[in-house]
This record gives sequence, C-alpha cells and structure tokens, in this order.
Amino acid sequence: MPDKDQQSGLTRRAFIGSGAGAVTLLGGAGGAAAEPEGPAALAVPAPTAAQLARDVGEAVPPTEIRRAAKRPGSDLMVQVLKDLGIEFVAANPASSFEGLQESIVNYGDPPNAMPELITALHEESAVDMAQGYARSEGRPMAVMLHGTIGLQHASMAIYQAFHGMTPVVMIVGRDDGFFLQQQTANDIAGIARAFTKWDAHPHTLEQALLDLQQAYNEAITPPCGPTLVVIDAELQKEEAGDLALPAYRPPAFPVIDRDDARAIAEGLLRARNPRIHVGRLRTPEGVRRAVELAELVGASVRTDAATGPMSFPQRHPQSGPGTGTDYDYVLGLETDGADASIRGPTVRTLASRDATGIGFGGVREPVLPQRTMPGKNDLQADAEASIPLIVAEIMRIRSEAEVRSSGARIARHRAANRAARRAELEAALAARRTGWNGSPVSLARLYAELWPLIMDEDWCLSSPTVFSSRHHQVLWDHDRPWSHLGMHGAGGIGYCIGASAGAALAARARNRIVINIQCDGDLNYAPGSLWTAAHHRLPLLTIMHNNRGYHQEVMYLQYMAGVRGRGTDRMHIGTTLREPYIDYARLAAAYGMDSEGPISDPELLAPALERGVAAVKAGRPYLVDVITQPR
Amino acid sequence: MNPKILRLQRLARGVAPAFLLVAALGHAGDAERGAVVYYEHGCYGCHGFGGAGRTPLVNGVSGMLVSEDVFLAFLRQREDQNPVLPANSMPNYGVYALSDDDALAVYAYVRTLVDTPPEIDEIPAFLTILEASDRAYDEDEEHP
Repeated sequence: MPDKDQQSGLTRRAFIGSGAGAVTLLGGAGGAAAEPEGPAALAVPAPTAAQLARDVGEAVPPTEIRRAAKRPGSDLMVQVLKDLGIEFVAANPASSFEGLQESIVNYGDPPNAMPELITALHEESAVDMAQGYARSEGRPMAVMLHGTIGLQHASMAIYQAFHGMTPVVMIVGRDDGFFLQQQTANDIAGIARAFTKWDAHPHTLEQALLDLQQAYNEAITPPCGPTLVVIDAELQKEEAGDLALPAYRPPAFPVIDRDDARAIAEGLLRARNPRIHVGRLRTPEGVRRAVELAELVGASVRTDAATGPMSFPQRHPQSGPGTGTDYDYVLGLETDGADASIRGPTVRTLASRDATGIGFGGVREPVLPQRTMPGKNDLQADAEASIPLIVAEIMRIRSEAEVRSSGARIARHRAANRAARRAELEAALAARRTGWNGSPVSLARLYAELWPLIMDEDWCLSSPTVFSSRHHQVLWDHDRPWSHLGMHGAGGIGYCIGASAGAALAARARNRIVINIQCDGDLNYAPGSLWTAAHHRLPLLTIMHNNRGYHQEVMYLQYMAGVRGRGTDRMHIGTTLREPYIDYARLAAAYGMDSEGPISDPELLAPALERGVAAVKAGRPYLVDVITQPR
Repeated sequence: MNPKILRLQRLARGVAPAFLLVAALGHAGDAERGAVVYYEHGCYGCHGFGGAGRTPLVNGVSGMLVSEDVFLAFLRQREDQNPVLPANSMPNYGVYALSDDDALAVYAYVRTLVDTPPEIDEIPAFLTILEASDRAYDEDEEHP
C-alpha cells in the first residue's frame, strides 16, 4: 500500500518540513497552545507566492533543456489551438490527456495562455462553460474529456449544445493501455455521435493536427455545433521530430447566389416600407453587417436580441414596429421573412449522424411550427456570409432618390419607435408595480432594481430566463450581440452556472460583467462551477431565483392532480426544496465566493445587488441569494 | 402619467384595504383557515405569496372573485378534462379534492389580500429606467 501522504501528493519529508506538519506534531504532543485554526490548516500547506505566480503563467522555462521528449506531439496540438485563437480549454483532469494537459500548462511563451487551462469540477460543467463562451463570442473554446466516462459525464451538455447549434471543440483522451479498460473503447465517439456534428479518431500525429483544424471549421460552419476528436495518449506523447504544422484553411460558408442577392437588393430598395427580421446570426460581425444593411435601406427591424444572442440591437432607432405595419417587402435573416428568408442549415440536416436510429429530438413531428422548417421563400445559405453580397448589389444599383428616401424613412422610424418604446415601457412598469413591497421578493422587482446598476456597463445576461418571467425583455436594453445568451439548447437543467462561468471567461478580458439569474433547482446539479468562477476570478454576478423548488413541476403536478380530482395538497412531494432549506450564500462561501443572503425583505435587495455589481466590476464573482416569488 | 389619474389611484389605494376587509367579513368562509389551505394546495405557485404573483388575486382584481358562487363554479368547471400534454394553467378542484368549506375559506382569504404598491414615480429604479429610455441610442458606441 502506498503511503497515505504520498497518495495525497505530499511527501512525508515535505509535510514535516512545512508549518502544517509542525502544528500537527505539536498538537499530537498535547500542546493546547498549538491548536490549529481548523481542519484545513492541518491538511496541506497553503500554496506559496511563487507557486501562485506560476499558476497564473509567470513561469520561466529552463534555458537548457535535457529531456527524453524533445518535441512532443501534444505541443504541436496546442500550437494548432493557439493558431486557431482558442482562448480556453476547460477540463476535469484525467490520465488519458495528461500529455496534452502538460503541454497546455508548460508549452509556449507564456505558457498556459491562449489557451488557458480552466479547471472544471465536472465534465458537464466544462461543456456548459464552452457553451456560455461560444454563445457570447460566436466562436468556440475547447474542452478535454476523459475516455468513455468523461464523455458520458459531458453528454447532456453536448446534447444541449447540439440542439442549441453552439460551436464547441471537444478532445477526448483515449488510452488503451490504462488499467481500467472500462474507460476506453474502440469507438468512443460513438457514445455521442447522434448529437455531435462531426467526429474523428486520427491514427497519426499529422492527421490529429488536421482533425483539430477540421473540428474547429465544422464547429463554426452552419449548422454550428459540438465536434469531437478522439486523441490517443500515444499520439500526445509521440516525438514529433521535424513534422511541420499543417497550413490552416478557413471554411467556406454557403452563400446565396448573385441573382438572389440582386432580387433581395431590389426588393428592399424599391419597397415603400421595407422590413428586416433578424434572428440569431453566427458572430458579432454578422450583427454589424445586419446593422449596415438595415441602415443602408432604411428598413424597420424586428429583432430577437431580447431572447438570444447575436441579433440586431434592440434599441437601435430602426428596431421596433416603425412608422407602420404595412410592410411591402420583408427579408428574414436566420428567421422567417414573407418575401425571402436566408437561413443556414439546421441540426435537422444531420440526421445521418444518428446511426443508431434513436431519433434524438426528432422522434415525432414538432407540436409547434418550427422556424427551421424550410418554406417556399427560404434560401438555404448562411445569412451572415450572404449580407455583403446584398450590400454590394444595393451599392451597385441604388439611385440618388432611393438614398434620400431611405434616409427619410430612418428619421420617421426613429420617432415612431421611440414613441412605441416609451408607451411599452410605461405599461410594463405599471404592471410590474404589483407586489413591489411584497415578501418574498417579486421577480419584476429583482430585474427592475438590477437594471439601473448595470445599464451603463458592458453586460451579458447569461442565464435562460424562462423560469424567472423574462422581465428583462421589456425593461432592459439588449444592444450587444452577447446581451442575452438565450435558452439552453434542449431545456436541460443544470446549465446556468457552468454556461455563466464560460460567458464570464469571455468577459474577463473584455471589461464586461456577466449576470446569472440562477434558478435554485438548476444550481444543485453541478454547483462546482462556483469554485471555478472563484478560482479564475471571473466577473460573474449570480443572483439566486430561490423559490425553493422545481416550480414548473409543481404546477404540472397540480394540474395533473386537478384533472384526476385527487387534490393538490401533496404536490410539494418530490418538487420542492424545503426541510431543510438550502443556504446558497453559504454554499458559495464554501467554494470561496463572496456572497450574501438569503434576502426576503425587498428593501434589502437593491443594496445587496449594488454590492454584487461592485464586486464583479472589481473582478470578484459574487452571489446574492434572493428568496423570490415562484414566478 | 396624468396627475389626476395619479391622485385617483392614490385615493383608491387608501380606500381599497378597508373596502376589502369589510368585503371579507361578509363571507361565509373562514379566512384564517383559507390561508392554510392556500399554502397547502400551492396556490401561491401562480398567484404568489400574498396574492401578488404572476396571476394576481390581490385587491379582488380577478373576475372569478365576484362572488362565492362564481368562485366555486370556476374551481369545479373542468372536471372532465384529461389532457395528454403537461399544463401549468389553473388546476381543476373537484369536490373530493377541495371541499366546499375549504374552497369558501380560500375565497374569504383571497378577498382579504391587499396590495398597495407605490406609484411609478415613487420607485427610484422605475424613474431611472424611464429616464434612460429617453437617451438616444449612441450610434458612436460600439454595438458591437
């Protein structure tokens, strides 16, 4: 049996030489005065200042290198990730990708930067982080997963990324030589093939580098989604010799042809009251292009910015109903449009990936009409990549009179939309007075008190808000591509804190703050991302929507009991989180995050939120536990 | 908002609690018992603790609270439904699930529920939101 201290990674000599060891020995001798501060003080010494500095990348590589592996294959893999601009790799550590992990944290100058290794406490959290990052940036970060078991831990989040068309690049370590054969398989990717966009299992180092590039390209081309490369441990450790990095070839995005571009340009220019509907584009650049197009033709715009990322700025002067609803030409960009809709392919085009025929997400025709179903005016192309073609046609054919009329339309839309916004807001505020001073805190008050504190910041609302009544949609201004990251792709619970940590990774270097309205039931799936946020000092404000239960299920059960005539007074069984209540402020504190609450007095809410916003602006994650009305 | 309307609303806010209290006293049900039933049956799920939830009952705003008879009929009216899909709308309350006495107790309780929220111009956050909505979209700012 190995020595217990060796198992913990701390040798007996080092332990005795440390302060913690000395305390233990004194305590063992019965010295009451040497009572340690707490159990943690006895376990291991705290990291030294030098060690903490190394952790954040301030390492000095040795000048003379003497080692068996001179140019390990995993160094080249990391270089490929660097060249692709992959900022982060989230992982829960594991033996099957030890070579790759060692390269991430030691290779490069500085090491552990672009990509930086992000410590996830669960593989599902790692993929959730990648989703939050991708939905706010429009490009992927990477995730490392361990063999069969790590991939299965991650599978629900992958499934969600697939249905949310969210780009994620995953690397699955595979080690046939590992002593636990249950953790490997001939075709590991098969576990998740039905709900990934693309996968590969290269057998040479050169092919592994190409496959990483291909995985990135497949992830970012429509339908965007999670991709997966299985990389054997041997390839990670293989000596690369003088193998050169393969040249990267960017992907080609499907675009409309010139005839279609011209027809759309003419439609928008010749219309008396043109309209553009903007859905979810791929990247912030797509949003910029949509704004350029709308301003060029003076169209009024319908936006999805309050329901998801990468859409038209909600308070842009042209966003709103405009001067009148008699639109005589309507263009849809990744959404419906009466006269033309440019939409990229969706996950429905990936049916062949479901080799087992399980029919994930498509076992029956959808109950509601899906916007993804092609119609007669649908152009199967990527809207973001197609907009420049339309703009070019407009610039080529527009007349001076059309330039003047579009300018005049913009002025009229600006006035009409401002008036409409004011009326909408006054009505919304009047309705949201109800229960203002009530306890538990009303969700309308939570959103309303928070907005003035962040409206002048660059902010991102990372969490789905379907369970907290979506008050932000009308009260807040969603003007940036990342303002709201929208729904989780498959409605799977347990997503919020991981995705929010990922959004905060993107935010950390961009002077942005992230707001997570966190449902209590959701947090309990994988709360370890609280620690990740604290450890990596992420600007993440988590506000608990703590209604002490799985409230949607309470209501479903109530209805079911009602139609069966058997009463609703036992519907709390299995649906509520009481006896005991969960203390989320203490949970966050246990993970090292500053926190406060629970708050049920509405008068205490605004000051608490103010402290939270101040903390995240200073780069410290913060949690405020708010006892809320159920909805 | 029109100052006259504001004054009328404030007057109504002052009068409403007394009116509702008097109204509740005139009902057959036991309001104290009704508060317990309201909680045990999870009515707060949609109507909120204190009746000011997403579907509010405060201040007698619901048409189903016009009278005890209407309220009872509303609770009992959907006994023949058996939907396949999950629903989170108002459950049915058959007589075996909720006795007439308990239902009338709930009625008496919800008729006591009063909400006297401040006016828009008395809520600093609302004033800031309205003021901010007047600011022009800054076209020089990066969006993105």
